[in-house]
Amino acid sequence: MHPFVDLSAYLDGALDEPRRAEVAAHLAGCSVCPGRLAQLRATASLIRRLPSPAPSRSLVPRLAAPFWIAPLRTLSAVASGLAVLAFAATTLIASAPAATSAGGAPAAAPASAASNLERTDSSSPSSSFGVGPAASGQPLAPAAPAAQPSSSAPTSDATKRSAQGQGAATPVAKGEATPEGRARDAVAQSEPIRREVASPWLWLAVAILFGALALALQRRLRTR
Amino acid sequence: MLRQSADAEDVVQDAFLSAWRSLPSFEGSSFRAWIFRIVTNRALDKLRARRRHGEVPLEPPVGDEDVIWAEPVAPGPELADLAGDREALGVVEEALATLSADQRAALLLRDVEGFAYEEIAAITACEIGTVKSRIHRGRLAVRNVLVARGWKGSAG
Repeated sequence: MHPFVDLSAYLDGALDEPRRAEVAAHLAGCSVCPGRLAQLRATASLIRRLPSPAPSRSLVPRLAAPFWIAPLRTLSAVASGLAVLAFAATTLIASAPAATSAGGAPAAAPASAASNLERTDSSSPSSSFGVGPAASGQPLAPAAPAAQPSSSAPTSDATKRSAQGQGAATPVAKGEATPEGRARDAVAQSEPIRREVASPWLWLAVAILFGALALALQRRLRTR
Repeated sequence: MLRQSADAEDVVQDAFLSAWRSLPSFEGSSFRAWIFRIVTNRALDKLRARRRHGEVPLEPPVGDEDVIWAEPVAPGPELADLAGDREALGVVEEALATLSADQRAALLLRDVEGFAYEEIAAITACEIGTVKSRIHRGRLAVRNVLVARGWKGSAG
């Protein structure tokens, strides 16, 4: 009796020892079984060599996709939107003084300088009673022309120059001009700094950056 | 196994998801066998569902234990000619498609994945004798299809 039924199991080494020995003994003396065993072995090797189908899409990494991608995408999208808002806001702020730059911008800055002068003056002499009103009243006078538009400054200088002696006029005019000039310098310095910090273009760049990040993350989520 | 890559991908993804969910309940020695059990069960479920919907013909009738060992009808190309060819593998695929799903699963787990009979029994949840018979019948059926195409199969 040929052990046909057990040939596959014999091939796979799945027979228990007594049965394996029997089949081996039979194979040694049989003319048919070794050929069939070889056929089964060849069949098994053909099956093993079947091309394994490649998945058309990535199956495992999709499950293993980093969990933080979706929240990060949302976050960067929101950040982009906020940056756009900031861009719009800073554009409005920057364009508003520019529209009234004839009087508004210079006027506001000297006014702050004047208020600074007022503060320093009112705080220091507040202890002395008699000099108080006089001291507080006096500094206001030089501060007042500074607070006015710059067009009035030369006229006041001119009137003072005409009122005073010619010899003494130049040092006094210089002495008066220097604080004004310093204040303007300070204004000129603070203005570009403010523009740099709150530059609309900076916000626009941030918005574009976050927008690009959000898009890239979204794309990664889609393709995975 | 399923002969449709889209279905196969669905099954694998489905199975991996369910494996991931039931990961805490994983007990046993072989993680690979465990994964294969889930995937195989899903694939067999899929095949059953397909059959229920009449998508594929019924499985071929299972003959009795003494399957006929067909002999070559006519001399054909040698194994070397056939096996080197893609055609041979195509024939094998065709032959596998004629097997019952259980036979095909057992045979692929054995010959492609290299699982031992005991492992296949655990994966497909059946007796080891059943595994043995499924593998043998499946392999024999493939061999018979090859022989019918003039394959001699003495070498290899």
